[in-house]
Amino acid sequence: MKSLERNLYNLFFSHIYVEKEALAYPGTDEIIKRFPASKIIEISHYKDIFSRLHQSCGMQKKSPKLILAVKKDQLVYKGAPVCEDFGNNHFYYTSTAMNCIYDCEYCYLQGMYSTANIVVFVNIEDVFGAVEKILEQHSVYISVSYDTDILALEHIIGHGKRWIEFSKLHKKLKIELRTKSANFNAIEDMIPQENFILSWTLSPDSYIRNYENRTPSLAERLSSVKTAVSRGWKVRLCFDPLIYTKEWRRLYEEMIEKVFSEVPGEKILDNSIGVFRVSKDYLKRMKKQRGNSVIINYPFESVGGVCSYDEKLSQDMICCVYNLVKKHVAENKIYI
Amino acid sequence: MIYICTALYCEAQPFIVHLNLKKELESYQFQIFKNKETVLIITGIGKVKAAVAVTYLLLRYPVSNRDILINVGVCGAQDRDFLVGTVYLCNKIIDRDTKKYYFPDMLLKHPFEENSIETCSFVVEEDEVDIEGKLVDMEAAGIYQAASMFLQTHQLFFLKIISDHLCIKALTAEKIISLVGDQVETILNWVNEIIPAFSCDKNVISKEEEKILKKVSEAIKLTAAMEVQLKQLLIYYKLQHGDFTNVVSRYIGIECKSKNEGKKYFEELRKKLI
Repeated sequence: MKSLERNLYNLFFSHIYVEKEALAYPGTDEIIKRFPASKIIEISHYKDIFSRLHQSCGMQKKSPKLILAVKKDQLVYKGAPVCEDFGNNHFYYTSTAMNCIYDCEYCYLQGMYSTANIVVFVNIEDVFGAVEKILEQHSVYISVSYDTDILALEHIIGHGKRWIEFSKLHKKLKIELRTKSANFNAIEDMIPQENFILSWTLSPDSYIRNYENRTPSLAERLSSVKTAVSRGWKVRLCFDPLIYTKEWRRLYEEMIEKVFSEVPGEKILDNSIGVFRVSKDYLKRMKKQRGNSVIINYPFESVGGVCSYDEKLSQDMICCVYNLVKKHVAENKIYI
Repeated sequence: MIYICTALYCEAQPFIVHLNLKKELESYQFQIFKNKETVLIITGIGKVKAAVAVTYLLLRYPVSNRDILINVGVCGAQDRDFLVGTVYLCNKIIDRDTKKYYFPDMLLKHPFEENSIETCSFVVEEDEVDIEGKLVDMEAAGIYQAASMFLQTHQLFFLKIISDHLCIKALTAEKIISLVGDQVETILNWVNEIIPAFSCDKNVISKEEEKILKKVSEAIKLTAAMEVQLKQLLIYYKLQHGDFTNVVSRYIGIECKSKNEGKKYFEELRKKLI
């Protein structure tokens, strides 16, 4: 089946859609040069292709396209209540890219966006400007890789390095870059910054194989984690989202033991734990896209428009993982 | 099902012959030709007629995610480097009247050239100055707009064969039959190659199983909301175990006297299914 797909589908980014306005940015040229065989199609606005009606994320995931655009209007957003702020005041997030090259069965992006195509905003300097404006008023904690995986795209867009450079200039700024990639080598020549956190989302290997299509294995992610720690980077581990299956308890126990047998707990900045949760509207769209997914067809409970496991199961999963993590790191380094 | 739309009979003729399509005698507004796997409609010239025809076709033959729609026809090209007889798969459709853009997904490999097409409401002459599309036709934008109400963006294909360089005086029906006829085999071979990409079926619960769900719901007096919950539980169970009939069949014969009693049965079922 996989070889059939390889033969039928165009390569990733076989087509690059470029906003007329984006053509003037040097970043656009740099990205296009990396794909000499791709067809370049000029567009007026990224939404003309990104937000079309009746798209199939499932089909598009087999041959996603790249869209280069100029980000306008709101460039920085207040952090969402369902996201952990890690005790930081002034929690924000921004997306210099939208969508992800990975294909996780439970990913909320397939409910948030109507497409699997990836937008990269080439005017990252404007986003830096917007962050600097907020910094004039107070300190900022900003997550830069929520609605995408910046590090997974690093070889193409280089935004991880740009954010690291930016963090050097602003001591009142703290940046979190979250990833499932094993792409630390793409930024290994950068000097670690005190105010830059590399966060890895970790899952049991069987989950990675079955539900996190195209993502690196646990061993590969851990290899990146270990290298980052050894080079002096601040590293966060995210056991989030915890996903229920009949064997969840054993699988998470095995994973956490493996993680901390390879990475000393005291070397980790902090850890976050959270169960799968997603807005009711997103879940509805996710089910439409992946009608046969066991993970997202779990009969979730909806509370205040957010769907998750019922209170008892959620508590059980969080407590179990908390106790496992607690064996290796101080309790004040665990966020729930 | 493969839906083919052409503006003219002469564009359709090679497909009718090659696929041995038979005329549907009950269709009065538009000429439709079909066999078991293919339905072809002749839309007439212009984007409005084309949109109406596609709507007519897709209402008459309801679509599923296994289907594809192909708009095949001849087109013009201003640039003389674009050779007559070359087939193009359109990756961008421009509506000349509204300046709106439409983009069919380009997910699948193909043996054709690719470019943009501009749909005009009138015949464009070769000295026309402000044409944005590399190719020019009179239907694609209308067909995209109508078809995308029924089908997803990856199910739509626009194949255009260059017939002229914006001078149609010498263009005859015979010439068009010949241009399309030269490509019909290539096009249909490609269609056969891509069809496996459209074979997924999304419905977890079959119609038979829906009936079982209904019977259980009636037997244990479920509310509409509880029936929705039960359906979700059955989907979840089926995805893990392949079949749920053994678990629920005993509830079909129950004579439940009150909603409260039904709630107890529902809770019992929920525990078994989760």
